[in-house]
Amino acid sequence: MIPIADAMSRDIVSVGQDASLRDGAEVLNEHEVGAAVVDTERPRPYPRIVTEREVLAAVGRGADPDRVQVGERLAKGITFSASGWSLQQAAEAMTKGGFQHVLVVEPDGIAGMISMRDVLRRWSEHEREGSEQEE
Amino acid sequence: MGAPAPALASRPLPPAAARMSRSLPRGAGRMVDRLIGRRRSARDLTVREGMSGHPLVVGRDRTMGEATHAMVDRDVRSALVEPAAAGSPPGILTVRDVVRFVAEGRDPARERVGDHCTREATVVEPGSRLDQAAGLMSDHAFRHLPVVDTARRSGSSRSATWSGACWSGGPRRR
Repeated sequence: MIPIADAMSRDIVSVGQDASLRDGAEVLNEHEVGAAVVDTERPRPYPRIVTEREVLAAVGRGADPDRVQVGERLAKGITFSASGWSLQQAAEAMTKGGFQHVLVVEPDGIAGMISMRDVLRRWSEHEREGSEQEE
Repeated sequence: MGAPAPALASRPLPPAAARMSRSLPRGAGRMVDRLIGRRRSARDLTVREGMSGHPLVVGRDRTMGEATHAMVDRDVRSALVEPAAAGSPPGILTVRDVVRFVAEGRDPARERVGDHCTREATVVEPGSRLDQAAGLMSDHAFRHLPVVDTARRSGSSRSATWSGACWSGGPRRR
């Protein structure tokens, strides 16, 4: 079993809910990530994220990214996992739910985020380690 | 990162096809982010201005392990897959396909790319409007669109000749 904690990124990028979608896109681009946690003024029952997908959908439908706020385009159906999950469990959650990102939460808050890309990277590394041991 | 790794194709692509075919390996979102970051409207831009060059190309008979390692090494989220037959559009293998593969716990050393990729990708032309490409991607939940140039300069006019060789089927016209 490959622990999810070995693959997730612990540095979480965040963006304010009042930021324009353009600013949100710039934050994603600057940090080279596909998703950011959205800071809300009042604490919500659970954290929300905005991803490349929301940016794409807005632009694709002709929305002006300067006039739309990040808070209006939050990602739907976010999935959470605990850091005790395996990489395969995260991959299953992504596949079943159609998510590119899974937030990893602990009782005291967000521990990290794992993307499909992180799954690929860690899985490839693991497979290569395995084939080296066999040789 | 050093020099880009060679394309993982089971045979070299014909030069014309290799030159004409581009993809958006970092995905639509990144493309749009980049353009939005430049403070220009996607309506004024063409796909050519947003696409990434030098796509990774893999053979259908490569193993999933080989293809995944190549994607990780090149730091891309999709690879073009050689067409099954001359005249067909290329296939595409994306990060989503590999994640599904991981979820199913399959054997990367045995399973072949051709059994886990999209066999015929929807493609766009480099001159298409970027916002329309983004809309197409959003409607169909595609994150990667191969860009295939089917028009070839012929004398002084641009004629819609299918590009030769590998991807000669070109896009489905809408």
